[in-house]
Amino acid sequence: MSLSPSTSKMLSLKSSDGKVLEVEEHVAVLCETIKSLVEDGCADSPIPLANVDGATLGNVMEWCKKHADQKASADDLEDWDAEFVERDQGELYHLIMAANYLNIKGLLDLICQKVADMIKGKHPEKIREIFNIENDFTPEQQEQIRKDNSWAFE
Amino acid sequence: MAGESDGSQIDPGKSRNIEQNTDLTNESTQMPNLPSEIIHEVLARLPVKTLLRFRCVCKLWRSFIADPHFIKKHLHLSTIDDKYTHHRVMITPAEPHFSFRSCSLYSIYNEQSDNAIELDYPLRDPRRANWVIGSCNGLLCIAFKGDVIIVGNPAIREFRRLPEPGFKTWVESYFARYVIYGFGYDDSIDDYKVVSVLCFVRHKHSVTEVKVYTSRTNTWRRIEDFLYGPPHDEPGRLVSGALNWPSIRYGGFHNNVLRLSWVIVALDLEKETYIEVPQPKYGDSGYDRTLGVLGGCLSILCNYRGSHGDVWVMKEYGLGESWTKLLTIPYVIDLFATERFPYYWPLFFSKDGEMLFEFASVLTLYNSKDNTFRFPVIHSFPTCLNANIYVESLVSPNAEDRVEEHHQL
Repeated sequence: MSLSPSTSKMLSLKSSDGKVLEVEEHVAVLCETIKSLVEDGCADSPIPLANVDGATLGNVMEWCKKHADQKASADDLEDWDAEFVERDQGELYHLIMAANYLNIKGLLDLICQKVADMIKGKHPEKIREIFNIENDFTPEQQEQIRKDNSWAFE
Repeated sequence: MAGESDGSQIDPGKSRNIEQNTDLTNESTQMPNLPSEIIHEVLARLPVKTLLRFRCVCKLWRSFIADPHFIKKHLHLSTIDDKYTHHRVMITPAEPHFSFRSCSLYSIYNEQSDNAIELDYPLRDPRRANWVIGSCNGLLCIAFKGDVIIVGNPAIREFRRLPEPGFKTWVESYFARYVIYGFGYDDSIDDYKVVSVLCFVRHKHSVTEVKVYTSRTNTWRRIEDFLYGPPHDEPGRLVSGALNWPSIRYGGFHNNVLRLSWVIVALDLEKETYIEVPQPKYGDSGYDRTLGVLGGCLSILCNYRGSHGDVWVMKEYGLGESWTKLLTIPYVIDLFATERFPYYWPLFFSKDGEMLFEFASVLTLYNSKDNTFRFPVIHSFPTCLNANIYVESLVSPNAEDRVEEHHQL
């Protein structure tokens, strides 16, 4: 019924905190990093993912499973994705780092868009807090940038 | 076994060896130390206004936002965004001519009421008519009566007045004299061009003088005269690096009657040569045609007066066989039909199959799936003479800026 073979090979993924997750190969290969390992024939043993904790890995694989499902329509995926990213900043942070590390373009695009929507229109001071950024402008420089496009600060 | 395949082996050669930062003790610091490639990805999805504001977050962010590669990436993502949050509709109002207004395409499609914003631009003059020639990469080209042209980016509020084309040709006892324009981007030199065509129409033929402006040199050059002619008095439509005009081809006399045919003439902006663009096999005859651009494809609306309009798109530019009939819109709305035969002017075709067009000076949406019409509510919105879709971008109309960036690279 499904295009994905029911006999799909299973892969074991091991998170940074030692949790092992069994995932169907056609799901796991949505991660380019894992795909290259499979293609190179290096994916026999539990694959250690030193930069992804167990909870995040579970979330990532949930996303991959949904997106590997050939029956899901584009509209269906869009709605599902919108719900998937309804998380707090901490969780999104871990997901974005994992998507980057595992090289999953679709998931990375999705979460970058979510973060962009979250910070849209915010005050620069708030942005520095969220991203832990130090303000390295002098007050004069700061003022000049504001003056250049004062209407953007309205 | 685990010793042989640790994290660093999983990720050969890529700069992804990121230490997981689990220190989230500070409540507000919830996304610390994101790698710069991710910051880039996030910033490239923000509206222009927010980016102008974020230039003062820190020096690194300011340099990201000013980087020409970033500006290109941001433009690309904004253009392909299928929610149309970066797209706007610029209206040339019927009255007064000098007051352009814009509203968001997203609001139009999502039934959100929006306020039309008046465009603040130089050389506004209530006594002088002006109109939008076209848009490209977030830039708008505006012509004023009397050969005055400005190119501007409304999203960053930068404008540039171009020198005047300085036409030399003069024809005695002409029937009509007019100047038409086209605006587009020449990717080969990464620069925009404005084309200006001076047309004199006499009884049996026409005379043209064609000039091309390149922003980097800030000068006009004369090129080969228009192929066939005269072109209709409307702006060229930009598709695949070529400007397309509906034009008239004189076909000699037949039973003492001059034969005219409606042709599409394209000017390739890189080569600066003309070609005639093939047309669809329409089927029926006896119609009026209007040229447009839908989803990056050249489109023709073929009007069967009072009955319906067929919208054709050329899926692959230049390839006659790729013409496809996108949809047929019935002429059933007579709400605004003060004119005898108002036309549909297609503006945008959404991914959900809803066509935005202008009809009898009003913006209207037509859903081809269930054959229904909608009328978006936009406050302070004038009746429109014509409308242009543009994408908000960080692209500067000032060539000098880009030259400077080029040198820095």
